[in-house]
Amino acid sequence: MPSQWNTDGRICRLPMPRIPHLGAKARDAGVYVSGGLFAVGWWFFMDAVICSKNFDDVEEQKRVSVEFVDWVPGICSTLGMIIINCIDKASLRGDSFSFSSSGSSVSVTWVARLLLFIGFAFMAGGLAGSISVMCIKYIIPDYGDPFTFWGICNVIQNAAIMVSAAMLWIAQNTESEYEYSFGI
Amino acid sequence: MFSNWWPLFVVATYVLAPLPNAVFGRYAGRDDVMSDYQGGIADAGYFLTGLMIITGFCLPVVLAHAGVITVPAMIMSISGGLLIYGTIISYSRFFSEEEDF
Repeated sequence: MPSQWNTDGRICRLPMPRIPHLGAKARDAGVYVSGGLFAVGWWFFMDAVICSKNFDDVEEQKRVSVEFVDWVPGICSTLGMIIINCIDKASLRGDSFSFSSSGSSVSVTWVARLLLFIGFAFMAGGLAGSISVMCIKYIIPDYGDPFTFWGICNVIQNAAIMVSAAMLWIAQNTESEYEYSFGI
Repeated sequence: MFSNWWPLFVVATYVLAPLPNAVFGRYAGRDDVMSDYQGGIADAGYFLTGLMIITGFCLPVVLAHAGVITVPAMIMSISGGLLIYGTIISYSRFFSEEEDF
């Protein structure tokens, strides 16, 4: 059994689920939905920001407000999404053909995988940061009803951006006609 | 509900929504047979279009939640958006079928 699996250079024992090949229509629909999810995430956050600003002059019993700390996770997630989707997917495969013709020691594949890791780290950091901001700033001091919603909006924003990036990744990976899978 | 012109900002997203699709699709060379098709640029257009469409629906909701416009205005704005997008989609589908010989 292992010898059968190791023939294609896979590292993990369990095979990754093969991403199904979508048609051209489903691909475009995936990209549309990805953009829509990105907009939904940012609009949830904008809602929280606008409500916080509206509380300033309406009532005096405002206990907490949306500050720059709440912006940081969303900015990190968006930055990570930009980094991930700027990488050329063909350069991640590595072993098929090499771009470094001048014999440089640092290969393109290595840099591309490092950038991919940095992008995923930014996105995961954004999601974790949003959850920690929600817990520390909004839930533990136990403010009332409208304030906790602002923290939840932050988590919804980052989760939506993460799902959007995943959907864009899947849609772009199915664009090539030939069989193409990551055996990570 | 009346003499409140905030929902007119939604119209700007309706105008801007099909624009990146057309521009990026032309630049990606989908219409041109001779040039090779670049999917990444067209995908950027699709992404921006999807973002604009959802923005057109989210903007009235956020405005209503902030208390700037009333809830009936939000409902009418969203139904207007549905009508406009339904018109665009049915128009493009109808006429693209005719061109397809």
